[in-house]
Amino acid sequence: MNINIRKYWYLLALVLCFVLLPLAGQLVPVQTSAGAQRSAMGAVRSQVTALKNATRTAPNFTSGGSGHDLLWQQFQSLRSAFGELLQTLNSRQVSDGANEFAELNGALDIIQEAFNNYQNDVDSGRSPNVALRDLCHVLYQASGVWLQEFNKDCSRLRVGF
Amino acid sequence: MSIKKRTYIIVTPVLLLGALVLSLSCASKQQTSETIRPGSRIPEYRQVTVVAEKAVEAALESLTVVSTQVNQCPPKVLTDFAAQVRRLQVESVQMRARTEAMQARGDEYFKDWQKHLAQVEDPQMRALVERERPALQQSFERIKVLSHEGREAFQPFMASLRHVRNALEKDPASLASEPVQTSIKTAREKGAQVRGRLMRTQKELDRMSALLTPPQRSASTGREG
Repeated sequence: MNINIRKYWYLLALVLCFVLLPLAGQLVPVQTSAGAQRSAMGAVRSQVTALKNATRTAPNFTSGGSGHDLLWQQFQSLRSAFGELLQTLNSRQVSDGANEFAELNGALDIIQEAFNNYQNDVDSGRSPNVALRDLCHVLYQASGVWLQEFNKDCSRLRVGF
Repeated sequence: MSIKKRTYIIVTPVLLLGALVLSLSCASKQQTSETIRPGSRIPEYRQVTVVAEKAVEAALESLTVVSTQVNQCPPKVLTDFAAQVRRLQVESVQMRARTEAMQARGDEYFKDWQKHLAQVEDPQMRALVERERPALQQSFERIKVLSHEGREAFQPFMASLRHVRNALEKDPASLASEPVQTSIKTAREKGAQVRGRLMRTQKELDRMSALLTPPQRSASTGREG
């Protein structure tokens, strides 16, 4: 009888611990989102690599339009990955990094302008292949600059820690 | 029940509770923010303006080489010019991104900047930031205006450069044509405006750095005022 009661107490304590452990995690957002932030940061970095790879393969496409579409898709995937990372930030990071994240977002808007420039250049009679090579060059270099800034800001704001 | 079993029954929940407490304490340590160096973003911002200004200068120099050609633009000159236009597109990204963020966030941008400065541990520095707040705000307002003016001039500058490049790629002999000459003139004017705003922004940032330099240090480095 005595042993049975002890067993119940033991089970109760064990259940309480298992219930409280994840609850404690929810009370501290940094703890729960650190893994999600690292994963989201990894996705952003991978997407920059994918975009850079696309800038190397896009000029080989026979039609300038297909190369442009590939680059556009990869660039939009980068924007999505960055948007998803923003969703994983805790309130302190959002507040402390408001300027930095606005700048990173602004930089993506500016890099995206290169697609409009491509279209305008082609519309005004520039060779699509030459315009595409230019677009690839700008995207390759600019995404590298953007990633450097991204890494610096994430490190300063302790994203993923 | 054996002693071994009893010990196991007592120790296991204690260990689990310990793990719980440990996880909470680790998480709270992760929340502490790093020490922010006073004005740490000012030199960085200055560097970004210097990079953009150099790219504008190089593009204008390249445009001058193009415009001094007689009759038609040689392929080498055109290739160099196209490379400078690409360089400008890339090396202005950070500067333009800052301008966009500043315009989009408005006063919040400066408030956040000010907040970071006020978080420094050194009481002397905190007092300095507080004392110079009106002067810092004035400098920031001037930078905001300069950035806005620079942004307004950058769009036609870039468009004119691209127009010259595209026209010459299509027909190198079109250099003397009126549309190309008009674009060269616009690019020169707007480029000079952009460059001027960038240089004035650098001076304003230097002024902010001087305001945030403690008196004894600024006296020794001659950066006062």
